[in-house]
Amino acid sequence: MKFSAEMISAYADGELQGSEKTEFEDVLQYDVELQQALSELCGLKTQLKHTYQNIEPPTRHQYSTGSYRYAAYAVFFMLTFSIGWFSSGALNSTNSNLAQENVMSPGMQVIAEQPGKYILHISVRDKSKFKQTLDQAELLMANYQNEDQNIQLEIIANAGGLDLFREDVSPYAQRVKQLRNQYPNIKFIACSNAVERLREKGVEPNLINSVHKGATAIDQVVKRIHQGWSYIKI
Amino acid sequence: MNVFKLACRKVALVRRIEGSRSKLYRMAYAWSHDAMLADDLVQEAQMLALQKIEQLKDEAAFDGWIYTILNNVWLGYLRKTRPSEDIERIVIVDNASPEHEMLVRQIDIMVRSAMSALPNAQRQVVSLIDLDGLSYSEVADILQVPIGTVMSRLNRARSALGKAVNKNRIQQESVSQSIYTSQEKFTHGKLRVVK
Repeated sequence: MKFSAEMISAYADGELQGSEKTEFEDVLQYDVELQQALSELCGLKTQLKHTYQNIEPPTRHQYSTGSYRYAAYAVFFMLTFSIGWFSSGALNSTNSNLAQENVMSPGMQVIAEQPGKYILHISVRDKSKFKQTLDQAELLMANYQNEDQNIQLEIIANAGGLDLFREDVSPYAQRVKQLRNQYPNIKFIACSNAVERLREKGVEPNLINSVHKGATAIDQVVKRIHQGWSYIKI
Repeated sequence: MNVFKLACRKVALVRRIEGSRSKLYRMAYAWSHDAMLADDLVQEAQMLALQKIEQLKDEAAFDGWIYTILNNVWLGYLRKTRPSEDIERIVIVDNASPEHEMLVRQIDIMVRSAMSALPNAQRQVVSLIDLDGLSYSEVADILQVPIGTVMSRLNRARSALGKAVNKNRIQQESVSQSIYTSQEKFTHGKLRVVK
């Protein structure tokens, strides 16, 4: 056989062009061995695709349907539009944005849309990140309180981050409770997927009382982004 | 007008990230063979994509961009969970439950088993190309390796998969044959007793 296995693969994957492709096809007309190798390869490709094509992700609770979704997009659009309009600096001079800038740690990623509405997201089991999350929350609350402005804050935890909200394992369980008592407008949310994962492993997560079991982290984050909240990944 | 376009583009991108869950899940599953882990990887990748939405300048590059993010999340997971191993060579265990095994066809089990036995670097290349039909250059960009590396990994992966599937098929045929033979013997024996 004249062609290498790599060339046969390249032909099957549509990667051969021009004269290389023509030459390959010319030989393919009469070379039985090449025909068989190509046929086996195509069979393998089809089989591989077939094996995985019906694999679907587990069902998630859908937070938005129909008119609600479009309303959310409309709000998101309006906010994005207004921020874009004032992006030359008008919004940057507001107290609320100053509040935000003052509390953002270096390297922290934030999608900022609407002042006074924040969703903090923690997804790793890391004591220093837990502390950073709670510090961030306290700073935001304090800054907005100093500016005498309203703030809504959600802290959502998934994967290893869920430990922050587990009464029996969190190194900061007491601090979470104190925060909730001090600031009623902070909401703690445990990702439903993460809770389910623990249950599947035979662990019943003992969540701190004030923690809500909500949607999945991704659904909650997307929902809030649509609504113009600022997303901060710790 | 630019602002209007930007806002519309962003809304469309958020929707596209949301809508990419199934295809990302299939890919993450092909890489990890773990349903729960795949769901977590996809969730993390989608959230990172939302954070980095401004970085995507060319919408035509969306698939490559989001697969790159998924790849980074997957490699990050491997580095964290198997710090002492060479990521490219990591093979995995197909941990589908027996109940699930009953539902999938035997041939799928064979292919999945062969895929899980591939080194990670080869498994990623073959799944990106065969499950989603990405080009060699797109895969090279996603995995950040030269095209020649993509081709050689693909070739090794397909060769190993072909051998494994054929071997399994021969074994299965021989098992079927032996079951058939023993059934025949049993039937003949029974017939003799009846006689």
